[in-house]
Amino acid sequence: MRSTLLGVALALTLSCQPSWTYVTALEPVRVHMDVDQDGAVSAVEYQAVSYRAPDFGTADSDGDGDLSHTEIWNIVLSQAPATFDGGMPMTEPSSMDMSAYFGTDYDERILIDMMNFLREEVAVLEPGADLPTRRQIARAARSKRLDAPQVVDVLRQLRARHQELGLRFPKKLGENLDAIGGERIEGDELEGQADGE
Amino acid sequence: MRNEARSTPRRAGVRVVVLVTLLLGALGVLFGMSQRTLAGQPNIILISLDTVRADRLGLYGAQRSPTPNLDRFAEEAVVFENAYSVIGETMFSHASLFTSRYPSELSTMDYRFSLPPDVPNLPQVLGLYGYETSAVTAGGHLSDLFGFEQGFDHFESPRHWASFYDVLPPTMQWLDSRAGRDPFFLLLHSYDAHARYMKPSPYGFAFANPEYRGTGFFIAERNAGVTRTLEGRFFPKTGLPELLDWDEPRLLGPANKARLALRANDPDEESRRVTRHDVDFVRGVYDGALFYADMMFGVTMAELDRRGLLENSIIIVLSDHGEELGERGLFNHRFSLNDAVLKVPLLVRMPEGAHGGRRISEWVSLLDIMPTLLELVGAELPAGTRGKSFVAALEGGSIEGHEALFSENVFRMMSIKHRRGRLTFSGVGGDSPFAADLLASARIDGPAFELAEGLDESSAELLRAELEAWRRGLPSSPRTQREVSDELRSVLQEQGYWGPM
Repeated sequence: MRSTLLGVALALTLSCQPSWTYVTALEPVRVHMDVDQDGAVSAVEYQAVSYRAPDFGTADSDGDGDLSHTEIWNIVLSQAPATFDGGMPMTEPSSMDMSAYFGTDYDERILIDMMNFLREEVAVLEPGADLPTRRQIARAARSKRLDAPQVVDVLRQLRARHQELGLRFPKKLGENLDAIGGERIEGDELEGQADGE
Repeated sequence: MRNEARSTPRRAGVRVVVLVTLLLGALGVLFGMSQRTLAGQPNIILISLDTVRADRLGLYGAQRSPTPNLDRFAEEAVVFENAYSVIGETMFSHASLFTSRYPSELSTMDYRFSLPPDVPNLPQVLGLYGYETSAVTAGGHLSDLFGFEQGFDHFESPRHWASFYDVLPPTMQWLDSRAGRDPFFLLLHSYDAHARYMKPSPYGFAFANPEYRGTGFFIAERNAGVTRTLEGRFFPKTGLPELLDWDEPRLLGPANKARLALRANDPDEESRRVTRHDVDFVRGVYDGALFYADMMFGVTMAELDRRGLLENSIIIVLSDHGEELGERGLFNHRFSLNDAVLKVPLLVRMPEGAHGGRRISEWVSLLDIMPTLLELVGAELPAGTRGKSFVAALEGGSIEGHEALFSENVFRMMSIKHRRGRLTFSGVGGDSPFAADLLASARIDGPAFELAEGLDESSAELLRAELEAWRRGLPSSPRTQREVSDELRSVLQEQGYWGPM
């Protein structure tokens, strides 16, 4: 009976304690550092995981040869992650080509992506195929219109190559091409138009 | 009888309540929702640990756990063993999390993204139901630069690419400054596990040798180290924008691989091969970053406990995406749609730790967070959301997980994960109006499709049909691009997110 009551009292005591504390948060790193498991974190054990950190003499502020939870927390507070090692100089190029992928207008990008996609379906199967060049595609996409003559011309060339190889061409795009009708624009003329010349 | 009992002051009070209700109701009408204030609801604390890959955590089976505090938290929480993000990008993943919609439904898939004001988001809806809403984020892609302040009464980002070290103090200040008694929704976010991985001692090198100075050291140390690691080589002198041809339909396809091989052979490039030792070292430093984040999570829990907030708060811990750690020669989360990038930790601690220790193996998505939380507080779910509530799992019951999980990214990829396997399509982005047609017409054995190991072509065709149906079921992008400020551009450049990409 007495042992039951003691058990209940102990359970109540434990349940009333804050279950999450700084000590519980920091204890794992103490255990991790304490390689020889003698219950203390020595200078050697601390050094084994240190990089540009306060030296042990500074970290062990009470000089007892061990790092307490408070001392570990003080180490944490003394080192902001953004700057603890002095940071590294940024080495990104200073001039960015903003005209490329994400710098490109959405309307232009989706046309480029679509035409390049269809181009590659053929190019992978037949590397030497007569296909619109990537440059032609980029110029055509500047029109930002699916029904622009330059885009229509590129798509017609791509459809022809698809048909030659027995590949499926996207149905809706094909229907659009049929609905537009008209004659093919020759390559030189195409480039001139796309440049707005 | 009841009418006679009403006093004049009480009638005035009723009028005020009616007016407030009408006002809030009007806001609700904007979203097509009804509004009601709920008393005695739990607080909701959402802790988003950026770039935490599930399988690196002890609670998800890692042998050498760098997350003892989270492992302990798992004993008080319901753990979802198979939780997935829909994209490997902070900005889009959080946008999806807060709206329960796919990223390409919300905007164009580029870094001009802004959370659309006409799509109801989680804090907005909780606000309609009387929640006080606050966010202390680590900036970067989760900042007001991208519209994430919408719906929050208080929104603060102490610095860009910040740590718990930076966000914890203002979070606690906000908690201590609250005058109201309304329940609150708090978002706390940190980039501690995001590149650059290197964190202060004694945590940062707890799982890696601080004396190591191989290539892995520079990858882990430099801000752009991970983004300059492609095809198993580190390119110290050239930024990501110049390393690839960004018009290639597949950024890591044969053409760009050949381009990288040429650069690798250029002595001026000084590129370095990433060895097995480098990979192990970088993984160790990443684990050190997790160890640091985990300690800070433990401190956060201590601060919440000290304030008596564990009794009546729902605490959700998750990550927005994972990270490739040497797989396919990458340390990155933007180039792939696979489990390394998409499988994330998800733990939900109910008030007082109810049902703690349960483990749910069904597939869930971060899209499910909003429906779940709104059901938990009795709020109405806005129309158009894609996720489904997993409340039953939090209350001791069972759930039906997702049969298939869809994902997409800004590098023109879409993917379906199914019991049969994973099928990935690449070449056009989810925000392209041509995506579904190209998905339907492309050769299954062509360059556009990547079949997971073991997935035969007939199964792949079935998955292609599902992927196409999913794509056709989504509305076209509302296109809410905003102009990019110099500030934003510099922030993005710093992390290798800008340039041609």
